[in-house]
Amino acid sequence: MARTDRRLWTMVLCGLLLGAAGCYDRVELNELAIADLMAIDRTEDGRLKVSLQFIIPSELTNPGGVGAGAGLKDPFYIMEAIGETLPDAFSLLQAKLPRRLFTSHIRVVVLGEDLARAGIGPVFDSLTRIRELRISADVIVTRGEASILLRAAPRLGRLPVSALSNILNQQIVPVRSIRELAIALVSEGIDPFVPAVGLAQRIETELEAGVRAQEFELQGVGIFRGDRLVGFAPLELARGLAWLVDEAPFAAATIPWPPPGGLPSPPLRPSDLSPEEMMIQRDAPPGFPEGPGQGLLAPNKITPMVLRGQVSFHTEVKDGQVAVRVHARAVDDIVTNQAGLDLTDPAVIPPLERELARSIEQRMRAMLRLAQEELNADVFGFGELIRKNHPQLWRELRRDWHAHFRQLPVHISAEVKVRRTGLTGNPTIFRPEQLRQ
Amino acid sequence: MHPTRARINPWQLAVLLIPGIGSTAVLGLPAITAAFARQDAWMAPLAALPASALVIWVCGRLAARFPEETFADYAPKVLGKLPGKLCGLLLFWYFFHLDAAIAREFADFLVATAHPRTPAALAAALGGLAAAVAVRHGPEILARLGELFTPIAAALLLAIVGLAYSSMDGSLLKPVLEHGLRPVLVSGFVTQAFTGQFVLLLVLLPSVNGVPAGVKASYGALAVIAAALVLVSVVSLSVFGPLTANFVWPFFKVARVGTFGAVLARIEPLVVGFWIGGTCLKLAVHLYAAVITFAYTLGLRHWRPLVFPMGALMVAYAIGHLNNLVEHHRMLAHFWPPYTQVFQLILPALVLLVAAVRGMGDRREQGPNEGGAIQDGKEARGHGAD
Amino acid sequence: MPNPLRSLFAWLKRRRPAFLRPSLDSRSVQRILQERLARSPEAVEKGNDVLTGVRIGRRLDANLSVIRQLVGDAPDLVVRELVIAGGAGSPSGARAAVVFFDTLSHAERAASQVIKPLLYDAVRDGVQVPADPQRLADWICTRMINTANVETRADLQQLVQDLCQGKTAVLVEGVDVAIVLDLVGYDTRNVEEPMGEPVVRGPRDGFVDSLQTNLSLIRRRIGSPLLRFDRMILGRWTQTPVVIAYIHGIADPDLVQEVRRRLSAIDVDGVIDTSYIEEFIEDTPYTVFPQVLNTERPDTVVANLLEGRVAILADGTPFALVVPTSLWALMNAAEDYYQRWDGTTLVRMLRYALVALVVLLPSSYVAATTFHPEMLPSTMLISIAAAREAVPFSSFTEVLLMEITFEALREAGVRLPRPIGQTIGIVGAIVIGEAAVSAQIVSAPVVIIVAFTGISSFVIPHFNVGIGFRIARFYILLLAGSLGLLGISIGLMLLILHLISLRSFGQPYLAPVSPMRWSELADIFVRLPRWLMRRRPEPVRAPTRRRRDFPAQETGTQGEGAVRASDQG
Repeated sequence: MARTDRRLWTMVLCGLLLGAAGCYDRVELNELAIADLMAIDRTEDGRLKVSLQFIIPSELTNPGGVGAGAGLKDPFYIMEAIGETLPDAFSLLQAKLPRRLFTSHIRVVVLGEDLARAGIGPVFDSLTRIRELRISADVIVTRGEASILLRAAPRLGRLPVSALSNILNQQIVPVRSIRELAIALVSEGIDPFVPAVGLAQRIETELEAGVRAQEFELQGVGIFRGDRLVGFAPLELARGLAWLVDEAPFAAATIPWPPPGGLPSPPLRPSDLSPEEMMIQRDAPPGFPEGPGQGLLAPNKITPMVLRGQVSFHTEVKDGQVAVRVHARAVDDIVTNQAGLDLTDPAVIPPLERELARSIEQRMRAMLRLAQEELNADVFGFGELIRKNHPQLWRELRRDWHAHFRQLPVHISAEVKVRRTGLTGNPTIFRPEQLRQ
Repeated sequence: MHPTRARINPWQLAVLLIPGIGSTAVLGLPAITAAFARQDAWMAPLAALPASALVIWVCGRLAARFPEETFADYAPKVLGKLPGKLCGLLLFWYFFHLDAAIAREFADFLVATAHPRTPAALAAALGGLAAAVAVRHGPEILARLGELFTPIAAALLLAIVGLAYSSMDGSLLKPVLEHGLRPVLVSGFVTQAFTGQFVLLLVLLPSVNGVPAGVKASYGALAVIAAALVLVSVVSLSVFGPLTANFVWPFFKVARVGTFGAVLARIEPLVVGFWIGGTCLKLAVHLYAAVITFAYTLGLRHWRPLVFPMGALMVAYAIGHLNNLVEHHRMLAHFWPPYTQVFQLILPALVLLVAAVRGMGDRREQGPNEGGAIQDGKEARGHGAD
Repeated sequence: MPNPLRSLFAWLKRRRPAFLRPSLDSRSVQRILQERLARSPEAVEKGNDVLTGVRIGRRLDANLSVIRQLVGDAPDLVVRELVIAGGAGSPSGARAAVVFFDTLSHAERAASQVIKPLLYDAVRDGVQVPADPQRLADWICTRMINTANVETRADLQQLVQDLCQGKTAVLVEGVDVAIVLDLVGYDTRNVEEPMGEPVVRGPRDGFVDSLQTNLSLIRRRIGSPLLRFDRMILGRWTQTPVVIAYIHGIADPDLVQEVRRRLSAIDVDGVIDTSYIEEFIEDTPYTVFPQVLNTERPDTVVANLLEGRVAILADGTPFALVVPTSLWALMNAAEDYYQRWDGTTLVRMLRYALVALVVLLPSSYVAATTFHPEMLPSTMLISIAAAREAVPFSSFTEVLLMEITFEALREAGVRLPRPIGQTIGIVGAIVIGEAAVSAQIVSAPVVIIVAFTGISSFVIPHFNVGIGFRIARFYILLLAGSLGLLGISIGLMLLILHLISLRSFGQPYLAPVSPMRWSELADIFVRLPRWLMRRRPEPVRAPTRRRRDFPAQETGTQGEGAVRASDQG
């Protein structure tokens, strides 16, 4: 054959080959059942019940159908199946699905309490090994059955998983993804924890009378030892946990003022009002003590808001005994001053800062007590810390770490800097002479 | 055309070697080294530096002694006709086997990550096809492909690192040297199987205009590859910690984590595309080395017609010689390092030693642009022009 | 006769001295010639040895009858017989004839510049007309005719060719040469802005279909005597004048030689447009990417000449060719050099980004939706999935269909007459797009993608390379549809490999990006200000490497420049 002919033939054959070859992995978008939320439970006989929430794309973008105006339907639907393992459940579920199961867009995985208490190790192997699942998906745990959580229909946003994901991202409690959980499961010196989410009732409105109205509610943190759930920490303590793992919460915390323990005596403050004027009580009706707001149940409160927090951890070894020192640094902004503190006076700030630091320390200590004494789970990763800083010591401690953890001395200290006081200096409701120091 | 007729400048050589050696290393190495050295795996490339530099040095000295000649040309001269040809065939076998291993890795990666149902044979065949077409155009075209490819690949690498930054936790790298130096050295030995692939220089250096400059460029390429490997290991380890050894391709997972985290940037397909490109380039370079060595060992004048058949054979061997991924990884971790050292270090060093002892070759130091100096009493070329 | 012998004979025939050549003086020659022509008229064609070497005879009637027969008694051939006043040989004067095609010359010019002087001026000025025919011819040439160029022809074939090219011939009784003058003139277009390459700022004249005018547009811009025009004739039937333009001293002499060589190797019936030439001189015919730049703008040609390139112009077409070229040159618009450098840089980057989009966007969409849905962001995935719910075709088919439709619309828009064309374009696009989406034949994302791809392809300044990319996108689309991301990567790699290996007159197509030449990157993806671009591009190996057009340092380098100019060969 002439050279050009041969080349031409080769190209034609290659072209045919390409045309015939491909299409192994072809799947059209509208042949996919896209799952975005997964709930895993344990049945009584130890099998896995997997519930998946699927998106209905046409409902999302074209609500009510073209021209039909038949009213808003849910843009999702839920299916569940029971299997021995996760992929087993998936393939059983496929038998009930008209489209191909597509799990790559699952953003949150909910674990039921039963399953968590029995141990999440086996499930986690599936979660990390299956190629389609994203290991950046967040994991949460819930009291009771996880599949119930899938029925919530939050009002804001059409997809429940968006609402759930957004709640988790509010930085109230630390969030854990499959990847981070897997690292914690594999490492010896740390126990995992995951946020705990439940359902909360929404107030019914006229429009929604009778309609199911449940929202997601962040209820705290689930503490694990090894791969088993051992307890829940409520939201208050969960914030201490956040501090102890260096993911400072972006939240407000209220402290009483003056503090119960009393303050060192304040410096005398010159007053520019005459004694007579100070005696005038214009506002309080008879029978009530002086000053605004004294009728409230808990009037003397100051609320700081943590803007930034940084925690440093140190280990100290003395006579073969190791101790951990935790020091938290926070920058706060005062958002409410019901106690009438005079915030324009710089001398007022240091005691305030000390008191705020004490409240953070209290929170951390409470969480530490829960973890050390009640649950005996090293969710803070102190074991890992010792391993990183003192590897030889760790080699002795690791065999029986939880016993050591129970006795581990942890010194907590905090330091707060109040940088700003919101938009106002002094409270607008107090007259100058009513201000405390 | 004899390789010495092609002209690559040292920059092109470096930029060809970087993806030509680094692309599969970046993919698969962190997992293997992490299996040995755990969180100290990032030190492995540094431990492999001396030996790889030695490989470059040996190849450089050989090329300086025998300018304008490939290994296949001067090995018979140095060792005698039959042993020399045997060495040439051994080197050819090394390139061929390596090429097949790369093709296998390429196919496995593609099938595992992007195309689960596609038969691996097809993926390997496509990669081989692209490589063969590239090789047929000649080494200059390969070098130019490298020129185009490397800067963008480097930028992408940095982009992945940047995107993954928020998921990185540096403390996962501690404690340093927890189990001592030995695991690091072992994983360094494993890394040497990859970074020692500079033995390619035996075939490429004759095409560079200016052997000393080419050798310097190779050192530079080694430095860049080592730095990239260290960076990739550090990033993988700080994102996955102890999980790193569990993933087959940890840096790819890092790319996925990073891109799913950031809201706007979905560069994962881009990254996979570039990996495909880089691995095809590596396939092409090694296929070229194999074909050249084969042709010139057997004394064939024209090497171009051999490219497609060799490529087909290589793909067939790639599919056939291993049963599954598990075998592949075991081979990479345990069999491959000592096996490749024979070809990367021992074989060229042996030839150099014999050449030095016999006082053969041109021992004059060459300036940066001197090409084919006529050797005293010896022919400058082993083969006639073609 | 066997072939080698034939060519030997032909060669010998061409080189015989004058006295061995047949002349129309002899009646036998005339008779044989006329018989042969009557039998096969195409014997006039160059290369056929019927006419080779036949000389013009002294007898006017014989000459005229042969000429008339050669042109087949063309009605536009004017044969004006006259008597040169005061000429010897007859009581009234020498007989002469002025022959020309009045479709190619302006008759009134011939009248005033040739006929009138011959008829009147000798008598009027009382000049002595020489009697000897030979001297008569010289005397007419040097004293009577007041046209700009005068030549003599002895060869019949050449005379006829000259006539067909519009020249005017004067044949005198008793003189065996013809006097040939150039009075070529016919209607051509006016110089106006080129339609295909408009600019917002910059010169607005464009080439026209007359070679003369085009050459003047170039010559007036380059005031240097080093500008060279090499003329040749191409095309057997069309006898088209083709000119190679270059600046001697800047252009590489090897390049000019190569251009000449390739052009003279062209043996074709006709050259109607420079594209005919282009197809013959390309390095690689089997590719969709052009290796020759064509332009209607004289300023583009001049700028390229100043960088050492060679231009090829042909009569009858306003498009000039510039060789060698590169992909980057084909992606430059003339306007890039007339606007400010910072704006131009951004526009260029946009252009290259859009070109990448043209090739990659439809294929990426197909690959992502068909093979790799996990790579799409969730919200985008939902929108696309929702849009595709009712569409009966697969993603790939949709995109292919819409791309073909778009190409059809584009092509139709070009063919339609201008008033209707725009309306149909807009209406067609909107109606088809809207209707298709409403009927749920295609989904809205696909329409958006195809529309955006189409718009992106319009930013490519030169049509020929634009077609190259448009074709490339189909090829990558096919690969994406069958193999997804792998297909795109492999396809792109093969495409880039192809581009890397292309050459344009020996210069690599992607230079200076590949092979990388750092010093020349100033004009590729960015445009650095003129005072930063100091060196001419290297591949066009100019003997002097420095450009000399930066203003501030002009005085400093003046002396140096003068020295340089003088030592050029």
